[in-house]
Amino acid sequence: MHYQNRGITIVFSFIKYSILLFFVVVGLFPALWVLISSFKTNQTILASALSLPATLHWENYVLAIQVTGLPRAFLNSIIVSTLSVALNAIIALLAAYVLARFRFRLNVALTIMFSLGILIPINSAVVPIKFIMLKLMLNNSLIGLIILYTALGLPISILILKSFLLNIPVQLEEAARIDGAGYWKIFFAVIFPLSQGGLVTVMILQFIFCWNEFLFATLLINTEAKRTLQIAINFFIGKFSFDYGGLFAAMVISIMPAIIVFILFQKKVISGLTAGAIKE
Amino acid sequence: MKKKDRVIFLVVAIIPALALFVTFYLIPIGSLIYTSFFKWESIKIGEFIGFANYIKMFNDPVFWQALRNNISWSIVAIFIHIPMALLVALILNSKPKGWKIFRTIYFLPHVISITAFAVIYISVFNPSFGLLNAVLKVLGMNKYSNTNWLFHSYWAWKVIISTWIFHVGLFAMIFLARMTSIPIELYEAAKIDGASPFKQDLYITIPLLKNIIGVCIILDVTAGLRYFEGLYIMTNGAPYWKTETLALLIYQQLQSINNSYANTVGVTLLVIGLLVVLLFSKLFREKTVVE
Repeated sequence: MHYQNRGITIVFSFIKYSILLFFVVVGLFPALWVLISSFKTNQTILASALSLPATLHWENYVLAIQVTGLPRAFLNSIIVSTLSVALNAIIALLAAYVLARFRFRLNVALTIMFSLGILIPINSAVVPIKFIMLKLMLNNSLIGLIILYTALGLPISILILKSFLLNIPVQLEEAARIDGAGYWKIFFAVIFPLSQGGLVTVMILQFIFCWNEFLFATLLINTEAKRTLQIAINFFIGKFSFDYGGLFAAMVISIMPAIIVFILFQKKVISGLTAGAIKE
Repeated sequence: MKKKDRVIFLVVAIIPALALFVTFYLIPIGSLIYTSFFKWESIKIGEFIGFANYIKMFNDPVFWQALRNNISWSIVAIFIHIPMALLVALILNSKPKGWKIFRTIYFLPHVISITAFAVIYISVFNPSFGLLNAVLKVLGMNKYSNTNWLFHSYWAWKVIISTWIFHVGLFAMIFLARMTSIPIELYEAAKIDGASPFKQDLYITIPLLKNIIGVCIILDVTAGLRYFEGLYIMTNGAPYWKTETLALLIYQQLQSINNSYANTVGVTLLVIGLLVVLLFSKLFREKTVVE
């Protein structure tokens, strides 16, 4: 980019960076403030919001872990998320493979149906879903949450995997077929390994969805031992009603896993979330 | 024999997905619409009452307040949130120094749960020790520095909007992904013609993004229709339903066991969601590709 005038260039880049920094500050400052405050004593939090901690008070973190049942909720979230991610990936891949490679009468109808699943706000149907879960004896159970999350994530997973599979050449499957491989052999020995890239995207999306889901968790879970992290967070407010240091420490602990996953898999997360969004 | 194998594979492979979809999408939506015409205020479903629930809804001031808030949310999303994301994407697309770091920072809020942000913002807007009032005090704006923001009848909704409006990372990344696929030749031709970078953005980049802008608007508005937990935790509709939305109303009616009324609002939310998708995909449909 060549500007005629050096002065204009400087003004332009000043404006650019001002805008960029503005969004950094307003977007992230609140979270940073909570992080800093989590190392302050309760008195200093209440007395001066903008002060820095004189020394790092780790006791807030000890308190957060002891008081909240946070480890239990953490474990529940990990169980629900990982199992639902695995279940969702395999079920979606099977369905996507059928829709991408087989010609049959209902193919187009099914594809349209799954696409509609992405578009409708399913939170409009909280009452029916609650009653279906009661009927299926899946209310107040982690298995129930796993199955529900698997189902809710299916439409987007199927569509992402389907378009991924359409870009894989058919010749490999045909070669396997000539070698005498059956449909299941082809699926597990050829299609499954070739879909790794698409599967990773789908699994990241599903993990973030499960880890952060609140509405259905709070709708369906009503015993403390089965709370996932997101519902536990809601109860932190009551538990620490006057101890903000503890509350802030609990928040930092609950946010960390998602941030660590993001930092480790940054490229995949960004491309996954944006691809997932565009598929809608 | 071979044909039989094919049919068995096809059926077995599609059935898990189909069964889950029917159980957790089709049946809920069907029963949602069906039961909205019944009286249902206990465990057992009552008698058929026609459009009575809908008439009740149209006479419910809380419903109208919720709808107004959903509309105001959508307007902010379309006219402020998406344009800001586009602006950030255009700046990042010119690859200024450190743009990758900015990209990472902007994306961070999208992996943090809304639940966690809700607790953070409760503290930020706390009247006695909150971050906002502390900053206002430093700036000498003492007139405002004792405000209870989240429960103030004038500020509450504006403050709620401020909790998401500056998180532009996701949409900026979507725009950026599309921008990098625009062929460089288009810009080179424009440069030869003497177009400034600003004009290149205005006449090349933005028109080519038309389709994706429509997609982002649909995503942003429907995300607003789905948004629940932040409001549920921060205000639950207070003060005086100033922060009520349709998603919140559905859940509150469920909690007070007005099942059929919750479903009536649910049907309304569903219809609005579909209308939004239809309207904006029509408005932003790509015409012939510009050469």
